[in-house]
Amino acid sequence: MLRPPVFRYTGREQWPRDAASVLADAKDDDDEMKLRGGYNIRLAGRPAALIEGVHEPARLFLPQRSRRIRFTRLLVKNGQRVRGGEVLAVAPEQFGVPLLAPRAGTVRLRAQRGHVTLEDVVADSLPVSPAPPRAGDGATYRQMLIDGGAWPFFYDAHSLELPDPQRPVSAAIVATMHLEPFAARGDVQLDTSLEAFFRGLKLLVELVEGNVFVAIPRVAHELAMKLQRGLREIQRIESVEIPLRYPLDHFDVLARALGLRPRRGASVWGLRTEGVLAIDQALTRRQPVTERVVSLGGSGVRAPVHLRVPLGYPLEGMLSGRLVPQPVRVIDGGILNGDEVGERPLGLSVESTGLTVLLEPVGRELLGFVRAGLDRLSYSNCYLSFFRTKYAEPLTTALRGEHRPCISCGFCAELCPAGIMPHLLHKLAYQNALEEIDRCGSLRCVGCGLCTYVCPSKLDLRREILAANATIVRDLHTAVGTGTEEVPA
Amino acid sequence: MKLFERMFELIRPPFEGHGPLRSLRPVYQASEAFFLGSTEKVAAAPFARDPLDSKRFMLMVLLALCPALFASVYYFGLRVIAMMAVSYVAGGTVEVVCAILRKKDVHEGFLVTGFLFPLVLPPTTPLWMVAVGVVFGVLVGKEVFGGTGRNLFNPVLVGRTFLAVAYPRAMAAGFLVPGDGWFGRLGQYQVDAISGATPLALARQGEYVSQWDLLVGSVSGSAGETSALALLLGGVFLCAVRVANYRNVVGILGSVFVFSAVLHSADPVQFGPPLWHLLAGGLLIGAFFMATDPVTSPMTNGGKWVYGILIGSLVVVIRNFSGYVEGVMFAILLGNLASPLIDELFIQLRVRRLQFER
Repeated sequence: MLRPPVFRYTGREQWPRDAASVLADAKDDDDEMKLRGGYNIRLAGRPAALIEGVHEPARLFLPQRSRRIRFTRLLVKNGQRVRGGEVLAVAPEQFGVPLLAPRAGTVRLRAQRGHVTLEDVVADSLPVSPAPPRAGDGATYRQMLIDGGAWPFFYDAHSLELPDPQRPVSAAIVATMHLEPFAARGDVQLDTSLEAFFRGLKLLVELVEGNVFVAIPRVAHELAMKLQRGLREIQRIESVEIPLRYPLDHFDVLARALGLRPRRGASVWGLRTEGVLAIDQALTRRQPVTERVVSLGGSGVRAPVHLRVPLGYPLEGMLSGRLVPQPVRVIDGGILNGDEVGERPLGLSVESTGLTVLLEPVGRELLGFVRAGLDRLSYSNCYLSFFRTKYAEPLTTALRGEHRPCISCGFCAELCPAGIMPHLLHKLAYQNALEEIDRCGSLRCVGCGLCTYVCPSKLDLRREILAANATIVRDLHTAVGTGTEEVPA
Repeated sequence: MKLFERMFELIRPPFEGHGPLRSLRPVYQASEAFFLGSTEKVAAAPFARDPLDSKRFMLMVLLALCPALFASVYYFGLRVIAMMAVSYVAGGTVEVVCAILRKKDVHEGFLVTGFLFPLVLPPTTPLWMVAVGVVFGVLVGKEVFGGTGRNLFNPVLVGRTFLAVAYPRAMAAGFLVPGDGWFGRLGQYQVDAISGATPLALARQGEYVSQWDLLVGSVSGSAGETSALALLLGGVFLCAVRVANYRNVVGILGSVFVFSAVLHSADPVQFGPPLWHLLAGGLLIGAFFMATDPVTSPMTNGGKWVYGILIGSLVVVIRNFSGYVEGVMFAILLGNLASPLIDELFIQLRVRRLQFER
């Protein structure tokens, strides 16, 4: 069998993550940006700075629904032979975003529920769309981005929904890093495709009325400096240095810190590195985006890496041979705000950023709470964890404690990037005081999950707050219709 | 480890479902939870959790109290251990009974209450009084409010105040002259009551104990409060592992120091020197171990400063201008009482600011 290609990352190993090498992670430096909270969780299992290819698939399972997109209108018939780049389905409610065939193959519509299945898949050269009649025309460019499959890479910075292509864009935020543990890191792709990144940025600037803010980690690193230099040469681009603390790369957090308020009639875009590269792919090379670089990380993966995968690639194929021989749980997205992968989906969705695999706990720890902590770093220091910077303990899906009443330790509020007080909201939720919860700013929650991660009483704060927010938006705000905040189902 | 797991598997059945011992389930649950980690898995995002749990949270407090416990045994004899045993048994019974009645798990908070209570009592307090005090403290101070996490007052101080009010003479006579020599009272249990006046009582008569004695703890006082060094050791550790919030501690100690310094500079004869006040009496044990109780102190950071300063100034006022020689106990209880109000203030401020930001 042929070994799949490996794309090596030639730069230094990765963004330095340890406290010592981060230049200025001090609190007072954040003042100008008004960034608050966040936590650099140092965990073992981060994907290496390496992009691996995968074996050519025999079958592709393209999920018809992902977090934001529902491809409900099918444009192909069962048994039809399609070429790579052909439109299989569109999402009429999501601005007609198309589901493109990543490869040539035979369509099977009823093989797997909720998926468009491609069989007898053959690698095919992707079509090059004709050059736009008028270069630099915003509307044409946007249509090309939608048709080219790049739109799923775009986010509305405030709501994280798919942005409306018709609305004017007041500003855009580009996050070159992805700070969620085990998520696909921007730097891996940046190093090999810096040229394309800058090209994509220049095109992005033309689509945006105001400035494009590029968030760069505040680290002393070759790549970061190269980025800085390159960015200085592009008009209307502002680079923003942010400390490497999750979730300070969150679009909503950044937008607030930059003073970009949600405005009626104009939106703020949020993009990651891969989004900018997708712009370049769709507009410069005029080829459809049918592949993604996704992460495969976590304690359940033998050698965590990044993978360059065609969309719809069977998840089983991505995982086979890479997992440790133990019970694991597969999560679509990061550990802090991903979704568990159950029976569905079978293949990589157009929005997936990566898979995180965590070990399921085996056995029970004897007197775990008295352990000295040399191998267990915690938000509050354990007696000896103070002396460690690396987190060596394999992460599991264990709750690691019992559910207890809130003791108001205040760790959740310390970490909260939105500045709300999860413990207070928890108490208000207990009283079912929805209006009070709303008044205390619960709609600012970005769902980062840090409060729940550190809670010593193991409260499900994230879920409680998001559930309360869903009710608030439904019951209290429907008349007002602000609807600017993220309310995942 | 497997052995323990199997042992608990073996004795579990009668406590489950309709088993004959099902009413004692909280007891079983507590002992299993003590030895073995929980089996529960995370159901929704985030899919991993920090290893910090309430057991470790409480254990850190106990660990930090160990130097003070050692000092108290050293200076006042083995009786302190007996007091602690009584405190744990009596208070633990109340806790377990309440858990059974409430059909909830036994919570870890009591581990701290039971440990701390004897340390704030005079070292020769009769054992039955220890039991009465801790039962009152746990029942009235905590359980009637709904248990751990919902109490308004620190249960240790509620019990201590009850004893001080109900048995003032016995409490006042309970203070003991500390042991001296290399081994202190390490080998002694029953001591012929050599009642010793506490440094704060002596100070009322214009006699100041040396600061060195206060630092090492060779003075009369409540069992665990005398050795400033031991308390500092544990207290700083507790702040370093972030179980205790430094804001409370610095607020209290700082304000006591400043206000005492002001008084002392106004009238050095009547008012003691500021450093002396910091080391004397129950200030350090109160500041590090009782005022930092997250449940009964404000949850906002600004509130913690105000709370600390409030307690500190109350301590100075009570110590210097009232009939009581020691004010830490009342000061912290009053601080507890004020903390919801302080919180409300700071929460509203923050909410206002958030609304402005939006």
